[in-house]
Amino acid sequence: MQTTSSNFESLYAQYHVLVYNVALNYVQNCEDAEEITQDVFIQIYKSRHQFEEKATLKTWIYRITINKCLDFIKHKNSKKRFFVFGKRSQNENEILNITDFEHPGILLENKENAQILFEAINQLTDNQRTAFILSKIDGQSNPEIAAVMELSISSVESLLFRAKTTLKEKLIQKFEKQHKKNN
Amino acid sequence: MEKENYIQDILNSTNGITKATPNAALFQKIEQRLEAEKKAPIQLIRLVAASIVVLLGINIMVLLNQKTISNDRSIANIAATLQTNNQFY
Repeated sequence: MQTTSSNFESLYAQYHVLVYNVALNYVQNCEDAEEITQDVFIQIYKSRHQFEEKATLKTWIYRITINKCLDFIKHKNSKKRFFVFGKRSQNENEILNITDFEHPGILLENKENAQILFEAINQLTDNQRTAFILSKIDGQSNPEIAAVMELSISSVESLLFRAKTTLKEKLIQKFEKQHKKNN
Repeated sequence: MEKENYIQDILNSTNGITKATPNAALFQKIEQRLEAEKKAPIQLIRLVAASIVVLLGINIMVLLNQKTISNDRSIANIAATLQTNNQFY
């Protein structure tokens, strides 16, 4: 794929919403999602010669975005550990590394429930989380997810099943905790 | 029943999700970062070239210093041998 600056601009125009929204579904924070979007397009620009026509451009961009999101989360979690075990901070939010839930795509009336859902999604394994986000939130079909994740369709189905089961378990725990508090 | 409703409400909370758009200035930020990354190797090359020149300079200075020291030593050696040879018997 040859990408001159005008081609790059049109590529950005075509895919920036997709990249930004996938990132938003992973990190639930506008600032972090913008940072990931920047990283993704810089990676696309740098490795444009490595793009093979075996996959579609969209699939390739999805893969780069998902990898960048997972790297970002890992990096953030390692920073969080550093704050907890290493340097002491006066600011409690800094110690706990709390980022405000911020997802502009979610309807206002669903915001509270969506926050609970994303908290549970964030506890899934990387593969289960990716399959669930692409299927349930991004609306991709199972064959499309299989192409992005380089897995068979049956593997994606199994990942989705396990993700939903785990999510339900987490939500039951949450419900019971809330019930105990109220009683 | 209440538990089931709660779970379904949470799981369906992303229904009707809309696509968000990033800041309009994001593309400019990406271009600026790409420009900065292009400039970085030139600065690195300059830094490497400068350090090579400094290293070569130091080596040449040390070599020249050693030469003058060895010259001084050889003169001192000749003087010492002359002194021993010119002793009275």
